[in-house]
Amino acid sequence: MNVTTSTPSATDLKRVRTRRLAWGCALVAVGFYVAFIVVSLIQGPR
Amino acid sequence: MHAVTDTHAVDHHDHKPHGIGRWLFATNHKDIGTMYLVFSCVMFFLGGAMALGIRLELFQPGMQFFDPGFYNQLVTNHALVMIFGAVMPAFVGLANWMIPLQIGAPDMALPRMNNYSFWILPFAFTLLLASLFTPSGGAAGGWTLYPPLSLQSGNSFPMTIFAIHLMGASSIMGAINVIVTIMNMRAPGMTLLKLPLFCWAWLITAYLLIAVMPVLAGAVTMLLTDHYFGTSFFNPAGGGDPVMFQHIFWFFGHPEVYILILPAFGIVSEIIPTFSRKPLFGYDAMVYATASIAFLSFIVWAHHMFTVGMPLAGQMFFMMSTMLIAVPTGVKVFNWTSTMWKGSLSFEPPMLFALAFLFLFTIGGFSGLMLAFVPADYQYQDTYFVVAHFHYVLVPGAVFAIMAAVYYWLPKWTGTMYDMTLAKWHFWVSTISVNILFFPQHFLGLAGMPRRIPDYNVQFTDWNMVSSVGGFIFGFSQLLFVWVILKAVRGGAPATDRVWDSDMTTGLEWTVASPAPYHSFETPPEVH
Repeated sequence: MNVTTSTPSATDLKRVRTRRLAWGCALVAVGFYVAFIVVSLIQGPR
Repeated sequence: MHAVTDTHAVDHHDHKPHGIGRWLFATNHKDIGTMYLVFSCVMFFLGGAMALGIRLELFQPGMQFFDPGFYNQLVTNHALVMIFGAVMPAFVGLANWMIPLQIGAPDMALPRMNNYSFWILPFAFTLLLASLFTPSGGAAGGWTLYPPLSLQSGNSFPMTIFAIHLMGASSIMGAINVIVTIMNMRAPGMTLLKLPLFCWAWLITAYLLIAVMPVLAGAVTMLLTDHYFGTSFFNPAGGGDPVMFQHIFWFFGHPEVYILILPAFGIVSEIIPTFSRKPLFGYDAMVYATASIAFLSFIVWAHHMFTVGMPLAGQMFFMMSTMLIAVPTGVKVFNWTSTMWKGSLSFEPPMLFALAFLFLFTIGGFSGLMLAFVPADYQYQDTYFVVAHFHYVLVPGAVFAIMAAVYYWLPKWTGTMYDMTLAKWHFWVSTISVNILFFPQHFLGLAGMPRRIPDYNVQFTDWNMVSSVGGFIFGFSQLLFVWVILKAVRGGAPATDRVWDSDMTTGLEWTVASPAPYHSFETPPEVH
């Protein structure tokens, strides 16, 4: 089996970091959205 | 700031797409920035027209032009259009244009998402404005959408809610783009503490946006389910609590105020050193002050609702934390003043607007301190004093900073110098009229005139007339602004690359040609 290995270039790393950072931010945003509704559910109707 | 050794602005193959496709499928940060700025300008005039409608009705007591229901819709939608359609997109447009140029990046990190976040906006605002033409009219409960009042809206309510969701999604995507671009695409050698202050201010603003726009989305989702799906988040009949909405809303709302003003701080921190011909006094302190203001913005929200009936300890906490904001804000004002101290000042239009910002924003800041004081707030709550306060912060504050930025960077965008005389006319007419418009509202508020009402007691007539006259002069004087820009876009004396005669134009944006080439910094510049 032929296995080719290559070291990721600086651009590749940058692209990965960009994507990771962007998804991280998006996840935080969704987290805040859900958290506030859940807290209100617990806090609200009693 | 720093010396630049390698500044290969690539302009030898400046091919750009043509026709409508250039704008519909735009991924170039300059094109998207331009679209944001044009959109924001249109929204300024729409929101401004609503404001003139309000001032027209308030010119004298009694009902003249509108029925009270429509007046309430005007007030509500004026706020939504100005906040989410005019001021925020203007700052995002400036961020799109300037952040890549200032950090030496070829474009924003996520260009297609950039396109998406812009093109959501026209749909969001079409939806919002269309709601005014439904049989029940648009949202009329104020931009704060407090239940139970907002839940009494007619069937246009979901249109307003969906429009707010779209604006939020657009803002969050814009914020992600700014964070990723600044964190990941700075030119080699540009450490965080070498970032231009406009970028710093925007980076911090972007974090605020990511933290609080989802909270607004959560709040309006809960309003929607309360209205249509029988939940009782804010309905006491089902065990809910309308005051909880106010807490959630202002947890978003107060940082939102800083989202509207921090980029303005960044702009003023760029302009004052250029026209004082001195480096900014206390760069590091400015960065930390901005970060402190952002942090404090999360722990002051309940000062918007002192009168709902909260424990004394709560009132004390929110009063003290609010007053604490004066410290980092004071640091900024003193640093701007110290930058000018013994500087070689000149008063071109950007500097004039930045100076007006400095004085008039400070007036808004001080009236904010007055409002932070609980016993006083019991008197000022829901009066025109509050209206005067936040309009001082937002109009000669945020809006003047936007105009300062446009006058500062316009030659870099168009490659031509604009008509300085006309721009100075625009400045003086705007500055005088904005004070005629908003200063008397302090007196009206202190005398007890409530906000958000279409009619008032005859004792308030005189100052309302003065305010309305100022409003009309201010509104129509903005046509001058558009004329100055259009004139510069059509042509004029060519601008140099550095544009301004100052040793302080050391940022990377001044190393590229004027007009900035369609593709810049394909080879990253080296920053020392």
